[in-house]
Amino acid sequence: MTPELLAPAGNLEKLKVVVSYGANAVYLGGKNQFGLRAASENFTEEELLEAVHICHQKNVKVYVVLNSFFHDKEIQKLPLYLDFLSSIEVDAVIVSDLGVVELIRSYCSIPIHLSTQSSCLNLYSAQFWKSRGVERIVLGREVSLDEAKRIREATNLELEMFVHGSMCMAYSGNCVISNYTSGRDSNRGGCAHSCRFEYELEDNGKKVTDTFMSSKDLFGLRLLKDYQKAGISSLKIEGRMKGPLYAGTITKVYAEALKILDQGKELTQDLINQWEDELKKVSHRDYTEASLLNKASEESIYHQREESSREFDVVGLVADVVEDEFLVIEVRKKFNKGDRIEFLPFRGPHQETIIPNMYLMDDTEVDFTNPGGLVKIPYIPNIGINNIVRKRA
Amino acid sequence: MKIVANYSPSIELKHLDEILFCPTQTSRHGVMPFEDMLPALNSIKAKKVLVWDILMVQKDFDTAKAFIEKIDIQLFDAIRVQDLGALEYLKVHFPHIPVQFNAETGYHNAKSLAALCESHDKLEKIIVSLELSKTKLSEIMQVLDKYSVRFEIMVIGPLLLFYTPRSLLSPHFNKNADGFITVTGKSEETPHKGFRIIENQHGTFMFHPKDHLLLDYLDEIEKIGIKDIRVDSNDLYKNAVDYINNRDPKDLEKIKTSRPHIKGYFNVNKSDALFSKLKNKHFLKKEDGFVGEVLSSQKESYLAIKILKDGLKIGAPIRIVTPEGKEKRVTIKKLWNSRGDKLQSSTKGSLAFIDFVKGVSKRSFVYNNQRP
Repeated sequence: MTPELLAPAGNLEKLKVVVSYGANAVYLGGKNQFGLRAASENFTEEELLEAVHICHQKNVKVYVVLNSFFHDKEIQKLPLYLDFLSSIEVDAVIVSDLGVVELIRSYCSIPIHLSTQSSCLNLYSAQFWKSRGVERIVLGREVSLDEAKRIREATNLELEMFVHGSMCMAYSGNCVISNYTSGRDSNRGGCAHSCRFEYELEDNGKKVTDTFMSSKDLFGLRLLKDYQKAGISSLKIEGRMKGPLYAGTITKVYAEALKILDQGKELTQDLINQWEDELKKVSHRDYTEASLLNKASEESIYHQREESSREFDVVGLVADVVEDEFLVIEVRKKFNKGDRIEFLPFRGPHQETIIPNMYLMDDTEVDFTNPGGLVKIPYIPNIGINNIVRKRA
Repeated sequence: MKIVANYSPSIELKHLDEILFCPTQTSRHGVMPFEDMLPALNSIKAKKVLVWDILMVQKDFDTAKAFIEKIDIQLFDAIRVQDLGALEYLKVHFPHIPVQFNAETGYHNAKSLAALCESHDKLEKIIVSLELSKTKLSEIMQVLDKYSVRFEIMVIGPLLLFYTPRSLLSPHFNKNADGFITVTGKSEETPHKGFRIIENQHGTFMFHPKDHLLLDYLDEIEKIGIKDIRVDSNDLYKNAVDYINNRDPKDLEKIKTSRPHIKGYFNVNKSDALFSKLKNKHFLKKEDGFVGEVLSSQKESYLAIKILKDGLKIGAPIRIVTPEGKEKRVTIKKLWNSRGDKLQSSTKGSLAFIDFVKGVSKRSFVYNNQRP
């Protein structure tokens, strides 16, 4: 069985992007305090309805995160929200709190996925949650593929694992730095990312300044076959706070790779190299396979304050296509006539072009673009609305 | 009230009701292997509890399980765990041994704590979170009163902020003979300095620069219904135990002046109060009649609107809400597409253009009504 590809949807625009680029399922949060990304745009009830409609039309599943550690006042608000989620037929909710699991199980029939926030790390823990009615477990990021395989074989539960993106350095749910240094509950969506800060460490006069608590980004592309062999049902891409270029690019790469696995073919080194080139084009920290094969070592620490500079910038999104005439680009970053830009179609390789000429919407020819504006460029076949337009940084 | 404290060779047993044994094999903060504790385990008469509070991936679980199966578990009166896997394992393989569950991380509602109470017949105690205020604790204890489970709270000790299995200090510092590294850390974010950070065989742990101190609130804690209190600071425990028994303010003063301290969230927890400021209010306002979003605004020329929901019609009144929350109300007089073709109406998914409206910028929202 080929695992499903589960992509982040921080808002409706990003949802459309990842669905277009090949996600089999999306996870998203409502505009409430039930999730762990309070600063993300998230979805109104109206947008959630729209999201489910868009996704189900394309046979894409929708999982809604309710994975904060609830206080009683939030528990009290939950049944009304569950009524709404049931009515729009979301495919599952992602939960970390034992009380919330109990409530949902007794209140409605929405399938429950256990969040990684619960740090389920071993098969006895998985058995505990299975006995509580959980259908799927998102394993802790510390679990290796071999260990996951054992858990799968012993419990027959659906397992989900992270495959790509930023990682908590702490056992999820076991970090409260933000709570005590910023007054923001990290386990209710207020994480201040203190683990990415630089710290001056001192022992007996020896001083070291380092981002010693910062993790490199997870990179599971080379291990897709191992995920499959371990019986993992779903591969999760991290990043509800990331932009459409990031979410779209990562989703496209992994969707293409999983499609090849689904066809029973091998992921050749050439293909992996091509995909790695694509992945380098979005902003990221150095990559690590973390604990997927062996316990994460010193190599997995990211000793830099900022993310590595990206090779490409998003310069726009395709806003309209008038066949055989022109493309309209919504400009996000300045580019010039004569620049080499790339389009990222929903399927297949990127397409490069050198812009021969550009026009404003009133057909005035221009030599450069302004962010926030629209420009027309000559038509390119196979490019669609919402395709990402990028340029080497 | 029963007093709980960690075992150390210098411990004075007088007044202590429960001793926590933290062997390096199973305890995240253990400094002594189990074998070195055997003499004390055989001689101490107070209640003895084995602390098995590491979180474990399967490989580590197998190691800990082998240890538990090898030792004489009858030396202990109870086992304290945090990993739900350990709770489940004990329930299955040692169903008669009393278990204590450390719920200091999470478990902030009565329902989750009640579910824990019901999870195992031999669950005798739950250690509650320090993030719960006294009001919440009081409400929760009333709900949980029907269970025969006891509750414990730490009244003095270090406040754990961060726990990872990874070794984060050894790239920079050497381990001591016991395999530990201890440093202090200062964050780039002022004024946060003096974090105690420890690396040992179970990972890396960071503590708050100040100790957690609730000795001022012992009467309130008892009234709430928490009968067990933990003294977790080995270097201060004797003063603390003396104070708990004598309530001599001088003892408390000594403790307070010896180390910086905080009372954390015991009086009130407002750690969700800032969330509304994290959200962009602009995004909270999508409502009935939503048409779409302004993709581009060209002064004296046009507004380009991406039609996401309801379409636009010539002659229709529309309301535009800017990212700053200002509202503009106009009637559509002209409507056209990317080619410049005039339209009577536009449909979902298309890009439509109307005349420029002063004060409207990119990312404004368009509504097909004049309300509210």
